Amino acid sequence: MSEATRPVRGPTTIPFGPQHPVLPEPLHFDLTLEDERIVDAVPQIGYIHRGLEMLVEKRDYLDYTRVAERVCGICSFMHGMGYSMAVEDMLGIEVPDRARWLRTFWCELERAHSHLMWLGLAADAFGFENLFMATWRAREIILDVAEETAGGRVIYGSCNVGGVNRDPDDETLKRCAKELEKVRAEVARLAEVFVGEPTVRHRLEGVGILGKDKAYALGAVGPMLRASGVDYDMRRTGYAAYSELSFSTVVETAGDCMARAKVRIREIEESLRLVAEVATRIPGGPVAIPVKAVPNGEGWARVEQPRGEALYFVRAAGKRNLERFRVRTPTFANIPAMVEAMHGAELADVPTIILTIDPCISCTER
Amino acid sequence: MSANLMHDIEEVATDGLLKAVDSLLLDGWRLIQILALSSESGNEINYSFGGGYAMKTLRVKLGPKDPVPSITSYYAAAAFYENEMRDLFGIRIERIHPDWHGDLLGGAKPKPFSRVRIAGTSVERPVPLNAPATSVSQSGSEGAAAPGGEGGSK
Repeated sequence: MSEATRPVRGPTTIPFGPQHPVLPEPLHFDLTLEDERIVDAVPQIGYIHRGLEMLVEKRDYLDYTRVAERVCGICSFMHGMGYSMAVEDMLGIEVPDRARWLRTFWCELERAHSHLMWLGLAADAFGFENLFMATWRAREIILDVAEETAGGRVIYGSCNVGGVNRDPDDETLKRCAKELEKVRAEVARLAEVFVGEPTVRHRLEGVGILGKDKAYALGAVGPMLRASGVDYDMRRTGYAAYSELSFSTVVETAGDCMARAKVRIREIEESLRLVAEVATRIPGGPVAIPVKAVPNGEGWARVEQPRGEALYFVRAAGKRNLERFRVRTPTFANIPAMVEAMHGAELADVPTIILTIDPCISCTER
Repeated sequence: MSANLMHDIEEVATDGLLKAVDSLLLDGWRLIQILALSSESGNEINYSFGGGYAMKTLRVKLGPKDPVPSITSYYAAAAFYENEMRDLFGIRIERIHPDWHGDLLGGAKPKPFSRVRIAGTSVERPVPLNAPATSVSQSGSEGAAAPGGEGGSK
């Protein structure tokens, strides 16, 4: 081949997404490659931006809890609770003890089913259909418990500013906790397959490594941060009933995709154990206090969601419609770290790296 | 502020922002969010930093057209927040790196969250999706409003 006809070698930019077989939601990357190796990744979101934050200007601040829940269909309860906590912070409201414990009960249910859902999606992405079916079957029990105690399988609708609007009796909670024992047993069995299966390990081990210092500096949160060896969990701040519960923070040190998977698998077990503890120790009493104040000022709240810390902000100016609601979702915080983890990875590993941050684009775009 | 949130809020001037950010970086704080607010009189930006479970927020108040320097040279992750803030609020941020030029969110409507009122123009209000195309340019009642709110300043 003559010099004139030889193809120019250099970086190639290819589009990835927004539609991709492993992505349930739209996310686009312009990937710059040298051969098969990624040297740069430029993310683009905005395909499903709904402007829910702006809707706070149109709705009564007490009703807006229902809108806040719809920021995400997986961690809906926690979004409603985070918004409520920020408003309660602004109004100086203390919610009753039983409401705090019930919130914890539903938060941990949500964490367990979110991680199980992720486990199923990851298995599906590897082409491991059986594991996908088995994890979602186990998750079904959690959704049934959510429906029985909160009234909804996906959008619970049970959190209000000032407390909760459902009060399942103690016997129901204990019976549900017993039912969840089946999930714990099933998760232990599935975890063994997931962590020990050579084909899964081949896809996850040593892929998308994110170092401890980089993860912290880039603002990573949740399992993404804890899988890189940082012991950081907002539940340690003691919101809801966490200050009265003992739980361990799950930390791994490898920083690769497998470490992120292991953190989530072990967190399912810990969350189900917490649900059982709440069902046993929950105090009696009212579950809500009446809220009649006209909001004024600003409030903040930090909540540990399944994907990591979410940060809520509200501001009001003496009207029933707030001026601003803002939620910094965990996936948004994890995007810089995800882009960093892609650098140097093979093109074929990109879907795995994206999956193991457990992206929720619906949350990210609000 | 609730007891479990260890949070300080400090108001800084625009020209003192980078010095304050530099100081936080040297003290080991990491960026956890940038939050923008818009009102008719101007914009406000809150930069929140985390150190352990404590949080510190630097608050900058801007006039309607005031630019703010980018903090991406101190915190690389700020690029995502700053690009989002620019796309949604139209706040002028100087020297963002990388600058995706509106591609991060890439909405059909420029700066949809902006509420800044420039003298002599109206504030552009959200237009229903099913509204006739002509109503976009006729929104507001105080004179000609160009799409984007401040574009029609006189």
